[in-house]
Amino acid sequence: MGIKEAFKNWLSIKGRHIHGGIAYLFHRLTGLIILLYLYVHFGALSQLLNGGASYKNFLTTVESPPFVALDILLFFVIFYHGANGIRLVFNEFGIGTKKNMLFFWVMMALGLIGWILLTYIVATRFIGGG
Amino acid sequence: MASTQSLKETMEPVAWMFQLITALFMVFFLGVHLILMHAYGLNNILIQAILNRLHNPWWKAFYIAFVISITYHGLNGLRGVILDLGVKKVKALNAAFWVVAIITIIYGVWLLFNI
Repeated sequence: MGIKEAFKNWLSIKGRHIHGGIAYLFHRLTGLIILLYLYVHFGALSQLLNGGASYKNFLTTVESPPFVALDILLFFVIFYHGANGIRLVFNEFGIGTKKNMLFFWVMMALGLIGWILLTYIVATRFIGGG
Repeated sequence: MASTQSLKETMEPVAWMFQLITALFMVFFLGVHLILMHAYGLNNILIQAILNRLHNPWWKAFYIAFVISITYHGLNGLRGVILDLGVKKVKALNAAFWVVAIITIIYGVWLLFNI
C-alpha cells in the first residue's frame, strides 16, 4: 500500500466503530494539534527571555477575547485527547474492553465536564484581566 | 480494511510501553499545569510569579520532567502516525525522531534555566 492510499485509509471513517477507528482518528488528529502547539508554546515562553520585555505585550494578547477563545478550543482538543487516552491506557490493562463503547462515552462525558469547568473559569478570570 | 484502535499495532513494544507511561505522566503534569496557569487568572502568569516558581527546585524538576514526557509522548506519537502510513525508511525515521526529541528537550530545559 502506497503512502497516498495509507493516508486516505488513515482518514477514512467508513465502516469504523466510534470507540475504535473514529476515536483513534480524532486521537491522532488532536495529538498532532497538541504537538504543534508545544512548539508554539516554546515560542511564547522564549518571550520570557531578556527580562521578559516582550512578555508584557504577550500578556495583553492573552487576555483578549479572541485569544481566550482559541485557548478554550485548545482545551477541548486536550480534554478529548486526554479522556480518550486514559481509556486506551485502561484498555491496555484489560479494563473496560468488554463495554468499550460505554467506557468511551463515559470518558467523553467526563472530558466534557472538565472542559466546561475550565472554560468557565478561564472565561471569567481572563477576559478583561479579571 | 480493518480499523486500528491505537498505535500499539504499529509501534515497537518498548516504545509503546513508554508511550503509555508518559501518557499517565501527562495526565498529572498537564493537569497541574492547566490548573496552575489557567484557573487562577492573570496573577499566576505574571512574569514575577513565573520566575518565583522557576527558582523553586521542585517546580524546576516538575517542568523538566514535563518537558521530557511531553516531548517523548508527542514526537513518538507522530513517529507512530508516520509508521502507520507504511513508511519504509524506519531507521531514518527513528534517527530523525531522536534528533528532534533531543533538540526539543535541550531547548526546553535550557529555557527553564535561562528565563
